[in-house]
Amino acid sequence: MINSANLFLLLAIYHVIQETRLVTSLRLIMFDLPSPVMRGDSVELSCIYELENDRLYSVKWYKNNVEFYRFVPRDWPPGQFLPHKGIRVDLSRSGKNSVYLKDVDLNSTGIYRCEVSAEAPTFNTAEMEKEMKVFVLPSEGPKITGTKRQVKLGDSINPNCTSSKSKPASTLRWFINGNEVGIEHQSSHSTTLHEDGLESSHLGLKMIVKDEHFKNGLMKIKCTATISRIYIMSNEATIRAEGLSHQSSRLHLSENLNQAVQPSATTSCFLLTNSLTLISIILINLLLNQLKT
Amino acid sequence: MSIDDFYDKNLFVAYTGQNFTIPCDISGEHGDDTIILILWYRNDSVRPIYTVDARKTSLKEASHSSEVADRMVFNINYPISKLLIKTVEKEDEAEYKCRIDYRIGRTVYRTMRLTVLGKIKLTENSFGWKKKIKVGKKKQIFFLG
Repeated sequence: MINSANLFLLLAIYHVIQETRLVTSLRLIMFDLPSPVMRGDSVELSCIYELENDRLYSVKWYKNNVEFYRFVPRDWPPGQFLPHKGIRVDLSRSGKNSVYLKDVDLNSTGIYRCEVSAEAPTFNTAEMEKEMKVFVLPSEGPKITGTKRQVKLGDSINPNCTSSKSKPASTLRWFINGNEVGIEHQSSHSTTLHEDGLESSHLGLKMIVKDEHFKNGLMKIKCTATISRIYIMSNEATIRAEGLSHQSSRLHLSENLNQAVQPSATTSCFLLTNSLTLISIILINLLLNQLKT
Repeated sequence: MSIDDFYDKNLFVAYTGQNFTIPCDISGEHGDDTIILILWYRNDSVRPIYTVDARKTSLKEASHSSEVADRMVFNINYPISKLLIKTVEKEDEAEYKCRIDYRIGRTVYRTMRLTVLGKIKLTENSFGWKKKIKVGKKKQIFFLG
């Protein structure tokens, strides 16, 4: 039964719904891009919006406030690329909701913005922006130089650790027999910027050798290079104690006379480096998989 | 706000009750390109406050539309166009964004920050002229040249 009061109520509800629909306008729902990505990767930037009662006039893409791609349905062709350093757009895979960048390089790093505008008369516009970082991982582990084959208690050691070129620069850390070395023993921390835009880090270790630094007459000094949470690699050198009042240290000393320390130290560090390479590859794969999903 | 900010080219100061024009450089990256659309946005508004749609006509013949047309007039001149705000109010204090779409070249954005101060009162003293500006309850005094 519909009486006049109910009818009035229905009309009122209908009116409210219509009014609500009229005031809702274009809005951005999601803007997504993977970060960090590796140099050479192809990446998809997506921009999801709801037009509501508006019609689409344009979707424009900016990097650091400079437009590089636009999708305007009324233009021909609708998708247009505006040349920009470090940006290669795959036009066949880009469109009203996404832009596909091929072979990203260090110049692709920056703030990306997606801006959607409605047609006349409103020209309502919504935008979102996000940063994309492009990384280059080191091609090999950090290198330790300036180590002594053997030391006496009270000697000072001053080895240096240099990371392989990367972007961003690796963070270096020193460990002695597995314990991290405090900042008071770190020296000459610096970063070198190379012509190709990559960076390498340097970190020195400066300390007076004490009894506590040795385990069975051996001092294992390790340098690790890390880049945020996605990469870690290390290298290790072994220093032997000379004249420690320790049975085992004398034994090592005699061995030491017969063979060069460096090869044995290198072998052990390669083993370690290889296992860490495996760990870092697994970590990177995990991260990339997460980014893809 | 420090006095140095007044020298920033994108910062403007208007006094309430004045008419004020905000400039917008409409020249794009290519000199021979055609402007197809000019939109003015205020703060982070979704809807532009002023629109010039020249996609089907020339820029001269293009229709202007604005929800605040009684208070704002946009005069198009090359390369500097001007948005005139009539009888500035405190509420006009905002960031104004002028967007220019071109047929070929990249879209250009110009951002201008407008600060609105109270009415000017001029009084003379032994040092010369001084300007008294009412900003809310505070009084700021600027000495003229």
